[in-house]
Amino acid sequence: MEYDVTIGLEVHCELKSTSKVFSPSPNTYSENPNTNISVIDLGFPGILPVVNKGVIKKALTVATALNCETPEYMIFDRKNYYYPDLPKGYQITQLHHPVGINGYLDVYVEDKVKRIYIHDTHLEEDTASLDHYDKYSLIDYNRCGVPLLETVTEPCMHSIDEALAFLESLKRLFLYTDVSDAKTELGQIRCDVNVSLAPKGSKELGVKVEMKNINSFYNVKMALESEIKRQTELLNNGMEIEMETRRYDEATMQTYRMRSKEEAIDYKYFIEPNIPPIKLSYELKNEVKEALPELAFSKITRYINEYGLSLVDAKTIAKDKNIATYYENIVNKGKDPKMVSNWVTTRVLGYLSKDEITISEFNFTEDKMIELLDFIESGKISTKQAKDIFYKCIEENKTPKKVVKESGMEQITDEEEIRKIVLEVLDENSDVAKDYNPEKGRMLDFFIGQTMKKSRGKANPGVATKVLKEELLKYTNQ
Amino acid sequence: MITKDKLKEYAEKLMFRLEEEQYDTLLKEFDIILEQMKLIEDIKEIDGIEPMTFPFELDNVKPREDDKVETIDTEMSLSNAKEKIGTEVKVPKVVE
Repeated sequence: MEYDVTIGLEVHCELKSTSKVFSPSPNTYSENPNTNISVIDLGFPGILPVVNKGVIKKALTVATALNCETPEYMIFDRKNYYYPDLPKGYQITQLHHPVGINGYLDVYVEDKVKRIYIHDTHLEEDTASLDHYDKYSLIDYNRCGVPLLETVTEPCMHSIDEALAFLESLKRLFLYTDVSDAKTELGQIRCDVNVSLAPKGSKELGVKVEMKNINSFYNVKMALESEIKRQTELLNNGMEIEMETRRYDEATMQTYRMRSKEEAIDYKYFIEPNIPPIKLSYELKNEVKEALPELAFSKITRYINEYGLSLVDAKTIAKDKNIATYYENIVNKGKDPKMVSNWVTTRVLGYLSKDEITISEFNFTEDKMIELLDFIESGKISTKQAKDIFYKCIEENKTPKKVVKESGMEQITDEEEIRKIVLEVLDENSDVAKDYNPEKGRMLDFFIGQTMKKSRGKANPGVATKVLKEELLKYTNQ
Repeated sequence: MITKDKLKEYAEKLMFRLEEEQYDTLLKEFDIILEQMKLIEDIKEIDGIEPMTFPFELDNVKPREDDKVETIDTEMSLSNAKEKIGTEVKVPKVVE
């Protein structure tokens, strides 16, 4: 039997800030356990959390970028549960009045545009990290109180590809808006994945299974594959799916039960009384809106429509905000968008990935690229020469002008200069030249070859051909 | 209806355990608590009223600027920990 898959995602993202969301301790990663902590993070008696303005702005930025409605007041809730990674016995989060609701994000899934609906995005605090050993666990409270933004989608994705396209787009949104470093390998993005199966064409959703705390997009893919397979087999065998929370195990690439619906925790949410409502003024909301950069989806669409790039190239460039800036700065200097795209997607990105560096560490700056493209456009160097110059500039950290000058690579484009060489060639090969027949292309090729040889490869082939044709005709007419 | 089994179920969910006689005491106390609750139940016509979470409407609550940091001393923060290894707190193995 065939089934419709429905996927919903909850994505946690650690936000960047100087201090934590409710306490003044530093929001930086430290190798030394329990050094970035305050009494607020540790939940000492009598503590009062005070919200970080910078973090509110970042949360509001994401809510706005996700086209969400934003509330009049920032209000928090307590989520009560007992676990060693939560010293207060409750997590400060937002249930009743999230910073953003009813939003959406348009993403490209292959070559189609899919609108992913956002249920809400809400601000909360991260928990301590636990290290588990054979006989005991160790607690490092450094991560306690790190600002965490949780974005919850509607159950509106129907394939693994759609889920992954959304995750990649959301990660890019975090990077474009500069609210997070969004490094999955450092646990800065973590996902809960909900998946259900229903008979094909069914109007109702199947029973939902939640998989918690998946730490990479690759594991989201593997967990979904494994869970969809498990549920399909159960349904095909006439069994029912149980509503439960499961854990994905990387080693076995399978999901395992954590708890059933009956065992689900009742968090006894109530409004956090220690933080009075904070008004989100029109001015603040407007400031956030004005500061929002153009996002990847819009760039991709613009590159295709305005610059005529292919979807693949447009996506490749827009994938990294700094690459997109590099690309656009060159195009904005009047360079041909497609030509720049070719250089960026092949040479530049190729070099960056080979050397494992970022564009900001790359010494072939936008100005150097513009200089190089100028040389090509004016016909002073060939495309092949340009490639050599490109690598030489990087290796020797020089400008194209300098490399061209030093290596004497500059093409001769001046017609009269080339004519002098051509005339010398014709004199030296007057026997052949006399028999020149325009119908016989190979004769022309011979003379082009001789001209190139004499100019030591510097004559512009186009100009050389034109001059040769003129001079050969004169020769045969004599 | 609160029963001893219900209390044990809640205790399990909240991750604590009591002695039998403590459950008896708790059960008796619950009768009193439920009596008190009834007083609230008697208040009429409150369906359309939003629960009040803050006594005053304040529009001038200022969040904190994100410009400075302070920490507490690691040694001091760990001084009440029963057991530790290095600068981490050691607890019985917990894996959910």
